[in-house]
Amino acid sequence: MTGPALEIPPELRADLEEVDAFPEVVVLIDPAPEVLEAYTIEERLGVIAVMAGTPEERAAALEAGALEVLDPRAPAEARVRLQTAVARFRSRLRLEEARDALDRQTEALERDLRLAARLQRSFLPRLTELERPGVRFASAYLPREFVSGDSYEARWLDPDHLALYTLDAVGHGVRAALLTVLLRSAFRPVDAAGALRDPGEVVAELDQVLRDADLDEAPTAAFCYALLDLPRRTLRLANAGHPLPVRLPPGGEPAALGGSDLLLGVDPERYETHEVALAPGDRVFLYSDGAEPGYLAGFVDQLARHRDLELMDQLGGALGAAITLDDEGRPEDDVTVLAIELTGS
Amino acid sequence: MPSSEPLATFERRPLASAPDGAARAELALKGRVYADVCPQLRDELTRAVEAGARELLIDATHLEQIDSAGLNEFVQLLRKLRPQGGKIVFFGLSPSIQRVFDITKLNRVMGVAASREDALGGLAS
Repeated sequence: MTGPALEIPPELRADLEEVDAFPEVVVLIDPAPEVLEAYTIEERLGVIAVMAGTPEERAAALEAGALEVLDPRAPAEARVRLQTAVARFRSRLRLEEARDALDRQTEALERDLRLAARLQRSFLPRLTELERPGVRFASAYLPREFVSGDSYEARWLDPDHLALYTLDAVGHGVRAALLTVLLRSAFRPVDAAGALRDPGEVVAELDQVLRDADLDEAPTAAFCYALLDLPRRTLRLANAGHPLPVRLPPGGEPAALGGSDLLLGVDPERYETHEVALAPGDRVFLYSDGAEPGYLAGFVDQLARHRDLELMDQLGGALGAAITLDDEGRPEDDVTVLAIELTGS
Repeated sequence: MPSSEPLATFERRPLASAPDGAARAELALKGRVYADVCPQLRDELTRAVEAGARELLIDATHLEQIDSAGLNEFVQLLRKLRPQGGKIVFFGLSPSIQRVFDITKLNRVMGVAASREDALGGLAS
């Protein structure tokens, strides 16, 4: 409590000394304008000015940022105003502190999510490293949030066989993203002896893993596995509730491939393996459904319209035309496409 | 998407009990049932089950879209109902939603009927 001597009744003085002891409050006795200004510049300091000046001087002090201006000639009123002003100021400060703490937590959470998103992307295959004579790749991966319930894989199992899958775990965000990690780690296309496993068997195992996982609410996921035999140009497919892959032959119409069985994680199911023959120039697209009305039909239609472009440009053009993004550039649902083209004759 | 309109609304309707006394409930889904409205959908389904319903009739006549999260709510509910002999039967699916059921094969674990009458018949069977 600083300032020149001013006649202050003892009870008011006692109250002022009490609040002046709070670190967030300062009491100034009859402060000069520049002194007041020096203190009020700090937003988190509540300044109580005690002044016996004119109404104009008191108004100027309030204008300058004083929390309250008290007149010692009316001590009873001054004491009430002092308590009210200090109580309000301190609760406002507490609220601001809580908000700051929340902001800090949100920032930390956001940093974690960005890291999770980077990690999730790091699982995805680098398609340029997979290119070989006879096959080209393209992909699109547009999560709705930082992290996604979608994932995909492309992996050579041996010089002739390529494993491809897309998966769509239920929901969005961290929960769905962790499910993709569970399914990715449980995907075993090759048995212990190094032999290729039947795609239906591989998908059935994923279903078992999901149903056996000790999760509060057993979640579901859609999964489509395609095993390419490059020399034979055949694709063996097993599909758990996922949109059927689309084959686009050069000059021909798009056609859905294989069939689908039950979503993963619902009931024990026999997952059928469908074998389809491909031809040079064929492009095959595995894709998640998205939730946007008309998305499925629109995307396949747009693929056909953009057929004359290179594979990656075709994919970009078709997606650009088929999906809408919100103000933040996010799709309404996670969008994932994995595409291959069989080149050569 | 217009933010002023709710994505989806749910309406529970009274429904007479089955002849064997099993309590039934009917829930009408309207609009687009996406992940964002799943907590609300779950509340509605939970209330119906807490009120004793074992058999659920789902009116999808005005359902425009449903995503995997929406479908998952029904799968979770079915898990709870099945040990007690419970059932879920949908009716009034649009062709696009019918296709979702066809692809996911959830039409094998939940009933899908063409009309409300057929759905009630499906519950009775």
